[in-house]
Amino acid sequence: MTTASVDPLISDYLRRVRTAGRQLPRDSRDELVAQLEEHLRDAAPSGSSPADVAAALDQLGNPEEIVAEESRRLGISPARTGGREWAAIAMLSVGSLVLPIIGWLIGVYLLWTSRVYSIRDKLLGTFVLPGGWIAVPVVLLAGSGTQTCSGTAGTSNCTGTATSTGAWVLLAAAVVLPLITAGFLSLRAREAR
Amino acid sequence: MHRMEDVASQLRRGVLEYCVLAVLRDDERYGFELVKALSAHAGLLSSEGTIYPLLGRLRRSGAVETTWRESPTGPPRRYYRLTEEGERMLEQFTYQWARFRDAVDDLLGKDSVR
Repeated sequence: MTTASVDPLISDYLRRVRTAGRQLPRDSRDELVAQLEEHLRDAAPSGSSPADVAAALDQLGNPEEIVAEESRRLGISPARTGGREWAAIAMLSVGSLVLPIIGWLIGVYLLWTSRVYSIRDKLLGTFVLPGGWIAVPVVLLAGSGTQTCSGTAGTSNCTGTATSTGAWVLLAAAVVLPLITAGFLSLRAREAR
Repeated sequence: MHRMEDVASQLRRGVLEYCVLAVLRDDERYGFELVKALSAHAGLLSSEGTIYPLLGRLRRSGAVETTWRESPTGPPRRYYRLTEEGERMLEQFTYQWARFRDAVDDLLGKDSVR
């Protein structure tokens, strides 16, 4: 089979099936994709107009619906976002400040025991940023540690590296990275609602 | 409240696999042929693609088996064929269905179903 001749609409459709089917056992997902691919070779042979391809895909149906049918046939209840996913996001973000370290570890546990998230989501949630927002006070403390102040009443004179560009970048990363991760995990959770 | 679509989908769920077996009774078919044979009957398929999870399950349960055959137009095709187990299932269903249909028709009143 020459993959070069596969219509972009078709490869996009099959990608959606694979994505939706990431909770299926690998062999049944591969079989499903292969069957649909074969069907489309007959329903929309290479050289078909984009309109014909779109019509064939439309008749074939929504990828998510087909995968849901496969889950039912396999007796797998489709993974739906529940309290676990939202709790994981809360613990990985806000929880990391309220309950330093422990809160974040609970978040990691919830994340890895979720059926909604893929391995990639889990790795991202764990390593960007380990410890969550606990990095913010750490960066601040580290910054103020190198700061020397001398002051008399009313005036203060501080010299040091606290406001150096590097420290600001670190601080911004410590604030923003966990925010991005939480946003990403929330999107994923909403997709699987 | 019941929507008619839900009723149709529940009815389909129970009988569609036997319709697949019935289409395969006389001859082996490849996926697209099978889908076309079924979609020629309005209301049997919600969407064409949902037939494939069903075929996968029928294969795993031993009711159908697959063989690869050369295709004149492209790569080989997967053909589905009824096994002895599948024939037996179809035979039993045919009997059950006739009784079930008669019972429902009887209750609904055959004259009102024109």
